[in-house]
Amino acid sequence: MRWGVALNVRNTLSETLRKAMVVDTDGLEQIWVTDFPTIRYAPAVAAAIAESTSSCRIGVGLVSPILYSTTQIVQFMSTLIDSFGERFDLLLGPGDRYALTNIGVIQSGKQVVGQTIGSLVRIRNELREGGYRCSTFLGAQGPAMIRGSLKADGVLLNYSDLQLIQWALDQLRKGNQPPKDFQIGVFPPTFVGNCREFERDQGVAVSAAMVAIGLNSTVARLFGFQDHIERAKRMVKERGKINLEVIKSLGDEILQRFAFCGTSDQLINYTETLERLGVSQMVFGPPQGVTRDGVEDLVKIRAAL
Amino acid sequence: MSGSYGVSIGITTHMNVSATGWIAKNADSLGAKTVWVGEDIALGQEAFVLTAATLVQTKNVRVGTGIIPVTVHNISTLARVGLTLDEIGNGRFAFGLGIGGIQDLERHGIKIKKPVTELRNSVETLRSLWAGDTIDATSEVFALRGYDLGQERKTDIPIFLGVRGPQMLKLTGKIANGVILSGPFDYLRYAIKTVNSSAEQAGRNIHDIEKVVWVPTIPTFKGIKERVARRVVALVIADTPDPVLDMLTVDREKVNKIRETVAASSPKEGAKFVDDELLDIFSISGTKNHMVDRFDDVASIGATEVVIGPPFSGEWREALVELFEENASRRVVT
Repeated sequence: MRWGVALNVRNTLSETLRKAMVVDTDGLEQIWVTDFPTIRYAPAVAAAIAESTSSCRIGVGLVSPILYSTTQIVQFMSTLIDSFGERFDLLLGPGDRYALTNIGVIQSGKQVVGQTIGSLVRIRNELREGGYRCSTFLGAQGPAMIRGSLKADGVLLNYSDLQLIQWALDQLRKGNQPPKDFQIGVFPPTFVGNCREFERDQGVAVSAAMVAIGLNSTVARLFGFQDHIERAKRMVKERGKINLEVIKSLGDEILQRFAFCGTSDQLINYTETLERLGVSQMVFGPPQGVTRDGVEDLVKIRAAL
Repeated sequence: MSGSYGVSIGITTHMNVSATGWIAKNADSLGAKTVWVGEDIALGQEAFVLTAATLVQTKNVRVGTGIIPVTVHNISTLARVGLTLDEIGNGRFAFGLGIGGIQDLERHGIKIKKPVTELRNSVETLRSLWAGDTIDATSEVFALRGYDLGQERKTDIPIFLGVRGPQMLKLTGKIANGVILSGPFDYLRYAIKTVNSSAEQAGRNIHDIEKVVWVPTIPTFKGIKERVARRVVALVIADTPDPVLDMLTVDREKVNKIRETVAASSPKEGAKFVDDELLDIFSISGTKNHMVDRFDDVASIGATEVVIGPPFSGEWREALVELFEENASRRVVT
């Protein structure tokens, strides 16, 4: 299984570069450079990481084709590859609706899926026609996006819960089987360590809440989360952010289904189960990569496997 | 000889990576003051990755955008890009901004009613975000609600404005750290004077505002054909607005003939009417001695930096080396 870690979440560039060098030297396969609503512009950070590392793959994203034009996305991927070699992958997805609204980018719910998948197809085709070898992934959660991801080189599912992942894989395998080289990965919030007081651990709880609140309504209904999530959404709208009250309103039980939080042994068991399900990539989302210790812990666990 | 000024290199996103990479790798040793990265909207390399790549391949030279239209990017993206490039360059980044060429913008479906106000709003918003403020702001092209960069540390990124008209020049004198100018010599003199006078009215020291002059530089002494120079100048003349032409003591009939020919046929045809006088007014070309003489002339009217930019053709690498050497040799104290 390919392991990757999301960087560029809250850190300064120099902290991100230090962690990128740990990843590169000590053996995780991939860095994913997160973009908006994180502060630093991912393609430029990816360039700096490429200059400071030599072998790890560098993923750019999640990048929103609603914030950036397809032309700009093709341009930054091709410029990265021309300048630093064929080490780059791209992850597309609509992005955080609330954060985008705050910068004047309004998404119409019904059009988002079509617009995102349309952009994916154009971007992937243009990169291929230009002779650029990079995998384009779609970040997906709802059924339409999951099925749409078959037009990409792979999907990164924004789930951690095994039941939800199994459901997503069933969606993917409905009708036509994915192509043989189609890559299936998961990209949940992660925290390896003591998770007894989940709600109190703001980092992982906030990340989990962010994913839960963005959950597709069909999925929320299907798994019985709808009431909690609707209430939390209203609170976020009123408060303009995810705070402790929002986290509490979702509750431990729901939050834990939207993040991996556990010990290193639990992580190993978890990734083995994922592999059995057919998942070939695990991207450790925030807060795991926020601290250098978090990255070093991953590297150690990986080395011990 | 003029006073002290810097010599810089201008690149554009439409250039290929091998050319921009060579310039990045050699900018420090050539002694360039700045590498300016111009954005040809939606063409070639992505401007911010090219700027980042240039920053990581250099150690001392300043790297700036010259210019990025504020109208084609979300303002939050510009704020994030500024912060990121400033960190990558460890303080060597300068943000060159502008509204963008009217025709370019129209081609992308963008119409701005009040460009001076838009540019002022954009600069103020960016500076507030870099200062750590949480912003609610709206303009013709952006709307921010409770947005901030989550920064505790204030980031001070120099802003250069690429402008042309009188109101824009006055705005630059009031609020910018520098100006990027392009145009014939008499226009440059007027523009620098306007920026300085506006700065003085705003109580600023005119020396706090850098004046960067980026005009077509065509080293015909190294392989690049003079007809290329004339073609470039024909195109520049065709794009020069009437108010700028009105400032010049050139034969308007000659100029009009070139504009009509470029519009009706091509820059190549228009080039046939570009004589030596027009070549010298609208570009810096010729031998290295003549070109450096012209750099000195431009500096004598108040420019603090002269940019050697595209077209890069012929033996342009050798030409760049020789131009920098010639310039440096004139500044050696004996």
